[in-house]
Amino acid sequence: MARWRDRRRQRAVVKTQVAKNKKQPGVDQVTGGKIPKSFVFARGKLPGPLKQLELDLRKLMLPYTALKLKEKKRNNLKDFLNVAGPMGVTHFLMISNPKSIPYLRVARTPQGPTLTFQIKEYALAADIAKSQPKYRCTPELFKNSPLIVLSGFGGGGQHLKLTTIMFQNIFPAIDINSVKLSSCQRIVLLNYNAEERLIDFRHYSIRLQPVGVSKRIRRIVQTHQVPDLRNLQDVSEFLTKAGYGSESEGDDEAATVSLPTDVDRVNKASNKSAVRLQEIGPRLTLRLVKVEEGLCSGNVIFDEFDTSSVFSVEKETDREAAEDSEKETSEDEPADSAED
Amino acid sequence: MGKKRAVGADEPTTTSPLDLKTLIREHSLFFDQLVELIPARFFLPNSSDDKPWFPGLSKSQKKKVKAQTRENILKSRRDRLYPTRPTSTLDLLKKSLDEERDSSSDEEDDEDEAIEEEEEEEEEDEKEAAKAQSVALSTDERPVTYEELRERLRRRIVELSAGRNTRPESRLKQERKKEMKNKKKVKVQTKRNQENNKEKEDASAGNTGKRKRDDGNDENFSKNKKKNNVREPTDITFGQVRIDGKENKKRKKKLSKEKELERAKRLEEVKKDPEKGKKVSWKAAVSKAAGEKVHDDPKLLKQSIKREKKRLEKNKQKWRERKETVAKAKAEKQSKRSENIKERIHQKKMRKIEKREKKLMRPGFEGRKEA
Repeated sequence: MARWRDRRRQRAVVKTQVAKNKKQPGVDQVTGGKIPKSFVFARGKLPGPLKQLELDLRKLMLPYTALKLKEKKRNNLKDFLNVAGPMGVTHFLMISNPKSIPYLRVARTPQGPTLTFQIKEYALAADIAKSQPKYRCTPELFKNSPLIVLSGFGGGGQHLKLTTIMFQNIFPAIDINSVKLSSCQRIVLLNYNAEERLIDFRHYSIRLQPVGVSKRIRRIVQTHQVPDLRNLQDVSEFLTKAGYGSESEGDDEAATVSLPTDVDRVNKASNKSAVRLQEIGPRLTLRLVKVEEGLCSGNVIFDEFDTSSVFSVEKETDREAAEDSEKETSEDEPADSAED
Repeated sequence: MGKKRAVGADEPTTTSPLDLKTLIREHSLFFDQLVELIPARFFLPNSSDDKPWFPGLSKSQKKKVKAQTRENILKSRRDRLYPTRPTSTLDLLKKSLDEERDSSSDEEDDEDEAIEEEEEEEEEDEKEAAKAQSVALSTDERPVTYEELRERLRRRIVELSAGRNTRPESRLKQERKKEMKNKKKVKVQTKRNQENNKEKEDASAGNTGKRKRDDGNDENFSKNKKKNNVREPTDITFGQVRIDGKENKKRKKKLSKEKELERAKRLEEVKKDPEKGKKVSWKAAVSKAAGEKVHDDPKLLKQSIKREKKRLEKNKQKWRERKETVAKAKAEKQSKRSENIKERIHQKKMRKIEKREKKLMRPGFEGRKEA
């Protein structure tokens, strides 16, 4: 009897502990805008590596995502939608594997457009970790959301514009005036390759290292370890010995920044620091295949492989080029007439 | 055999001038080494002001003297690490000797003094070189200037980095490492490059550029190396950035739902048309992706209109019910009240009658006469 009562009391204690977990803010304190949250889940059965990729993507989207989202076989998209509303989830990232071709779908929740990417190649975070001699990935990195940089997307085509806007809005906005430099620790790069029409997706961690300081001194300051002076005759030798400078000392000249504020003990304000990126997280090569108006429904407004459709890629770019040239000529004429 | 004698066998007896010089030199070297072993403050005769006597002074004097000692400590510390200033006992001894000679012979010409000093320096240098050789501390000379040190450092780095890639076994690994580093660096470089270009171009949509990392990088662009295997992208866009506090774009006028419904229906018609419809669809998709609410689905709009109507209806109903219940309660209360009042009056009357009747209810009394 007593034991049963104790167990009941235990359960009650656990419940209160669970309730104490802080709720994630729905509105950003600083910028006042809504913080975009995401769900990353799989549709259909996935093979092992793809499941791992899904987990890697979830980790990437931290902190504004459900890390331990449990999906069951019988869950529909509608179930997710119903949960997404009250929780303030704005984006869905869905991985599926129909006919053994992996696809990634990025959609905006209530009614939003869906971009379907075909994953041509991918590398898991674990593989990348093993390929690097010094892999640094602490859980602290995932306490802040990553920055995002897109390159090569301005080339034209509405689909590229839509992709940029979509990815820009997946991560919360940054307020320049009040952001702490030490909280920008990860970065996601998306590079568009116009010839092959492929998007490279990379995920790096950012590290700042002071430039112009010798490696030994830096090591002492960062890790408070006493150096080994066994083979030296004098302390001045420790400071002035050539040793070998870091391999990349010369190349980093373009990648140094002068910090506006102190970042941490080592990198101080208005000192030059080198920006070092180390790859963590999955590596993807994507090709945009389809854009639908609704959430996995609605009109298909862009289709990569359908050359007969009016909205195909080549015809689009040709037509846009024609339109642009027409616009230019028509603009020139009134300008000339105005001058006259 | 007997004739062949070592030249230096008769050292003590034969005193040719050359041998004497070497002898003297060797002895002096030995004594110099001994002198070097003794710290300067014990060997050199100290002046009277070197020993500060604190207890006998006033407060301000003590402060001054203490400041002086602090400065002396700093100076000596700096001198110890400065490569050219003399700090060894021998040097200080020489210095003090020079000073004495200067103070004693003021009439001498400056040139003579200079010459003497030069000679002294040369001798010093020779002695130092000899000392270094004899003591065998290190094969390097005493460092003369800071610039030379720097030069040597640079040369050594170049040497080592040149020599590093000559081992074929570790070549592949290093190549791979370098490739990865290069890729990262190129990405970073190209990013910086394009940031700069971007500021000049001022083109693409959705760009509220991140400026805080660009400070002080303009000079480095001229030195940017272009890698052959990476084409430089022409534009870079970043994530959402808020610059100022005022982000309120002009608010679009909020149309009523019916109007929106009509608008949506019209849009649907337009969408069927390929040309304009495409534009409309893309515009809607872009603004939806950006997070703005686009009302262009007539079905949803109808649903929401219906929902609103129902809500209004429900509220009306609730109000009616409330009014009813209030009125009913009021009426009930009123009726109860009036009933209670009537009852009270009635009771009063009955009580009076009873009182009156009580007087006539004597035993043996039959009743009132009806007269």
